[in-house]
Amino acid sequence: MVFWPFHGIAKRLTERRRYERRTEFRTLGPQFRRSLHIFVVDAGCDNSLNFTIAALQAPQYNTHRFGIYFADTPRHADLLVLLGPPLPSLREAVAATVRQLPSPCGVLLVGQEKVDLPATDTLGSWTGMVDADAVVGQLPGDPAPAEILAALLSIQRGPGKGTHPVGGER
Amino acid sequence: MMLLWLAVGLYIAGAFFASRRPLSYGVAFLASLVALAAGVAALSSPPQTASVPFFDNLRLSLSLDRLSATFILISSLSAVLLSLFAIGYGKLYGSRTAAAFSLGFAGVLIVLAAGDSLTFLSGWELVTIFSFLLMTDDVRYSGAGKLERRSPLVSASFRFLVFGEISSMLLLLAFAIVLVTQKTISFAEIRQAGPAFLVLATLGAAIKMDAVPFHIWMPGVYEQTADHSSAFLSVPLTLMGVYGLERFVTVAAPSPQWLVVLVLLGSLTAFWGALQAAAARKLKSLPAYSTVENNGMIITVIAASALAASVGTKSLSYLASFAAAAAVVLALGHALAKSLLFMSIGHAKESLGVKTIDEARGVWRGVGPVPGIGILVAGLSLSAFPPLLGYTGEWMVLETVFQSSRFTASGEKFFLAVAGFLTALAIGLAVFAMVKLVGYTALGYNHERFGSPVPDRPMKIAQLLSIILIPLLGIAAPFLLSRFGYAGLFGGLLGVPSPLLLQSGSPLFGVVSPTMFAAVIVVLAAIPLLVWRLRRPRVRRVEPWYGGLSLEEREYFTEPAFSQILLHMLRRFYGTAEGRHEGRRQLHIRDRFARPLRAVAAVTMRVGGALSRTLMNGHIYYYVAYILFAFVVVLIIRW
Amino acid sequence: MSIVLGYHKKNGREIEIAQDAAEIVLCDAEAPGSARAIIERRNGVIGNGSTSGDGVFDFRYGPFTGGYPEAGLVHYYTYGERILSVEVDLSLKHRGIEASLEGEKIESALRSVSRLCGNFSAAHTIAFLRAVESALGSEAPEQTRRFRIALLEIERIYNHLYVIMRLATAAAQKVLAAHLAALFEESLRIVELIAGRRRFGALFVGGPALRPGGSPIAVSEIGERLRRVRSTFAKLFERSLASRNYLDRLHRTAIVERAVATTDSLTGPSLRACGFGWDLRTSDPLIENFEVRTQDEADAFARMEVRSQEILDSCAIAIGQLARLGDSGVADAMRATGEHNAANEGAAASGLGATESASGTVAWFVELERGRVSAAHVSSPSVFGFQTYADAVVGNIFTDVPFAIDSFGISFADAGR
Repeated sequence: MVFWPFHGIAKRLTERRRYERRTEFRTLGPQFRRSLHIFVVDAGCDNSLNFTIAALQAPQYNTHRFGIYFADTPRHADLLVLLGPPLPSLREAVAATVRQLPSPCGVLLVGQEKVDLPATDTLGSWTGMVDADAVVGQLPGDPAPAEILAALLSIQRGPGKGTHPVGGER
Repeated sequence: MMLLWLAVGLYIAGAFFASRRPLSYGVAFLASLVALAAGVAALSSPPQTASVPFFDNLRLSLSLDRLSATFILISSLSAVLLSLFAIGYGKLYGSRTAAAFSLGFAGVLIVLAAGDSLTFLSGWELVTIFSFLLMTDDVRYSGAGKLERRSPLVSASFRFLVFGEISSMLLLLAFAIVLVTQKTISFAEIRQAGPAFLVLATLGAAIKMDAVPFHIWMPGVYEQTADHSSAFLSVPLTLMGVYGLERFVTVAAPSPQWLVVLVLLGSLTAFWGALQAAAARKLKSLPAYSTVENNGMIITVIAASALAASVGTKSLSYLASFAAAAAVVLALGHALAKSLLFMSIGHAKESLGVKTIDEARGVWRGVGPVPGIGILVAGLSLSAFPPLLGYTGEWMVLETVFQSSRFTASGEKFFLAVAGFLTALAIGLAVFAMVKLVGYTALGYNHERFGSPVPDRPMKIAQLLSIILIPLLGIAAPFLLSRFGYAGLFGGLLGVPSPLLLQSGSPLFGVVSPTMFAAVIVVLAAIPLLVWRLRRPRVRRVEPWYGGLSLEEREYFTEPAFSQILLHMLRRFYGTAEGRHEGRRQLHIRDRFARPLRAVAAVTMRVGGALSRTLMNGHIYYYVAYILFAFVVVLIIRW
Repeated sequence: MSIVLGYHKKNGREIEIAQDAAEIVLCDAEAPGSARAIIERRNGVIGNGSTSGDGVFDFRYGPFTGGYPEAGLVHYYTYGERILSVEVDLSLKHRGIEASLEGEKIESALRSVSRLCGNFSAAHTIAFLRAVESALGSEAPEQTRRFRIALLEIERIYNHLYVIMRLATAAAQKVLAAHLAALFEESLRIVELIAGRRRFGALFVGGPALRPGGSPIAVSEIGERLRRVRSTFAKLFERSLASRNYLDRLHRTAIVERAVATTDSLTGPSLRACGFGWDLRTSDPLIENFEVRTQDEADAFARMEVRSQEILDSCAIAIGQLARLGDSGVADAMRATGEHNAANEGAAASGLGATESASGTVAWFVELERGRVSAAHVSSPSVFGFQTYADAVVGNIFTDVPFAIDSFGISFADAGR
């Protein structure tokens, strides 16, 4: 058997590809271009999004090459990722967590039917958890890890033309 | 010398006014100031003696040399702070406490200035008796001035009395031996007393210093007594022991074997005290055990100093002087820090009405910044935080025992290294204990509980004074030690100007400069912090984040939980066991010295009780009359 | 001996849902037992109660932490490191799905059922469908049943991989965890290849239309990918056993007493790690040569071993079932997934259905009336898993918690219902 690290390097698991996004996301600011720390909060999802987030941390996506890191508390995070659909029993706790984010910060809503942003200040079942102007975008439904990564890259680097110019980066 | 008499007189006057407690403590404060002045004056003048003829050719005398002056200075410094504190705090306790407090300090002065063994012994006895009275005072007033009776822990106090009397007996025997062999009681005339004297006298002093296993009375008594009384028991009372120890090793012929035993006893005491302090749960048993730890270190360095002096080579003479200086720094650092710790803890404890560390969380926020900073500064000094006095002291202890290789005898080398190992462990454990105390009480979260007001102006002034004195004296340690006669230990090196650098050995072993350290802290930390604060940074305050829900009081990481890992790892030492009672679970530990020593104390008390019932079953006045009669008869016979 | 999974009240009479080895049975409710107490408290707090004492405090873990991905609330009572008792609060994720099903048509009920627990969505949906079929007295065609087996096995693979990945991460086995994460992602991609989403439940709600372009599934491709997962995992598993650090963290952590396992109604791989060879799949005639994997140590390591061996078995079973179906059989079965004919309009009927999910028995009891659900009861393995976890972790220390809780493969979504 090959020595562990070599075994891994030989596999070339990280994928070089374009991550296409379907909708627009607001960028947080130029200072996050090379580093974005995210904190993921389960606001009441049925656990499949938790699995998706776990899959996003797989070597295939290798988020660290883009400077995307998973923080352990909201105080270390620039972006809060809320996994829905939100439950009323967690509303207070989610709101308290949103308040912990150091500014500038943003919130990405994942899973749950689409809400109109930023035209109205109603956030559907997200109401009471987060302010509409803090939301940088949303990924309704059951997004795959690649879609979430595309959203994160868009939030990190600003709008591009159609696809994100990340192909070829390792 | 006049100042000394004046101080003693004022103390006695203070005791007369005991019924008016603030006045009594005020007079004691004046007396302490006078005593402090006496100490300072005596330090810079040649030794003086005043004596009166007593019996035969024996003379009772008071004598002030450099050693006496040093200790009078240290003990008066704590007396000044404690009596000032007591002007406010003493209102909460009875007048017997006030009287015993003043007389106790008078007794300490007599011991420290005694020129002969009889005066020394009388002072020693007086202090023991007044300490006992301090402990057993059962009067206590609530904040509103209402009288409350409380039940003092009589059994623990009797244990103190038993050990105190054992100590006096040992000293009496030691002095008797000297009287028989050298026909003198004057310390100045005793020359090279034999090993029997050294063993008995140093053991007597060590017992007074609560050396293991004679420390077991402390936690129980400390919890019961008023805090200025606890500080009295912790500081002047044990200083007396330190002074005695220093005095006896200078007048006795050195006995290397016994000194090695003392070194080991000291380091074991330090280790055991720190071990118990780290596990202590009560607000006052932690400082009590910390006193044991400090005294252990002092015994170690004094014995090491005598050991080094007995060899007499150049490098060991330097080490002897260094170790003696270490004892002084430790004693001074401990006196100040422990006085402050007891004052601040007393302030917090009375205000919050609590007993355990866990209940006294958040003193800074809940009671006030003064007791909060007081506990912080005292705790930092006792856990050897540079450049405070405790740091210099503990560094000196370690440097002393780590130079064991300078000794020639292999036994001394080995046992000093063992002592170094135990002392280092002790210092580590003491840091743990102090982090626990400071972290929970001073800096902890108060759960929105606030203390009730206590009569606090003099209390605050006394604490503030100590808070300023501890770092100040720490920074000024080189100048201070030079005044005490240890100027030879200082030099300059590597850009540190002379005489700011304390050198631990000759040839050079280790160096430290608390003054430079303070300068560095000021430049690198204090000034930037000040500049940052002055720029008024924009700060957003949010509630702490505990997983999204607010933290309930029952969810707070408790103080026993903080020490649990230690109790588990060192379970062999602690005898840790889990107790289950009606569904309640908790960890129990026991002081392994407690049971055998309590048995000894119990037997002594039982024998004493039996004797008093069989032999001395008359009225107390008869015995007073017997004693007077005997005294008169002896005088008449000798005439 | 049987294990009680739930109680259902029907016409004032209480029916007990129980498991006996590989069979799920309905019988009259017995006298109150510990399982009943758990089932009665499953909408609130389960566990073994609070503890008080000098220095004992409630170490609350949750709802949001850096260490556990799901929102949940666990109270550990301790005086320092040793855990004295545990309370698990299941109310945060309680959605009342059973009650919400009342009056729903089968199609809309399936939508809720498939979203009960995302990672067990095939297990819940298929168990629900089996209950409905049992109520209607019909049986799904063999093709459908084989397809369902394949789905359940693939779901088991990615759930087991997730558990082992979590254990490796907690033990700081970075290389192993990264390889397992890659394998986990690959297994989820297989799910996506079949269902068009990363959950099989979607297949039963939306039908095959979810697949991009509705392209047919190539059985050979899935088989090949599953074979690769199997061989890669076999190598990783073998390698992982060489790491002392990894084994030490799992060995003798959160041991489940045999008696506790039965009184707490533990099922699935956690029960099989206690030496009980109980598996619902043994009674399925369509799975040939099935071998139940058991271990005797009942600690986190034994549970990990059982899951590891089951990953290898499940790959083989899924490959076998898909190969039996062939491309056309799969296409037929796919078409059938979206169609639910509640043919028996009118008559009231009830039925019981169960599946062996990745973490234990999922059982649905359904009452139908006029083609609609009139009452439903679900027994989800995580309720009993959390109870057993609480009982097993007492006496362990805090650093054992991730190894203990992850080794049961339980989730709050599944327990909260």
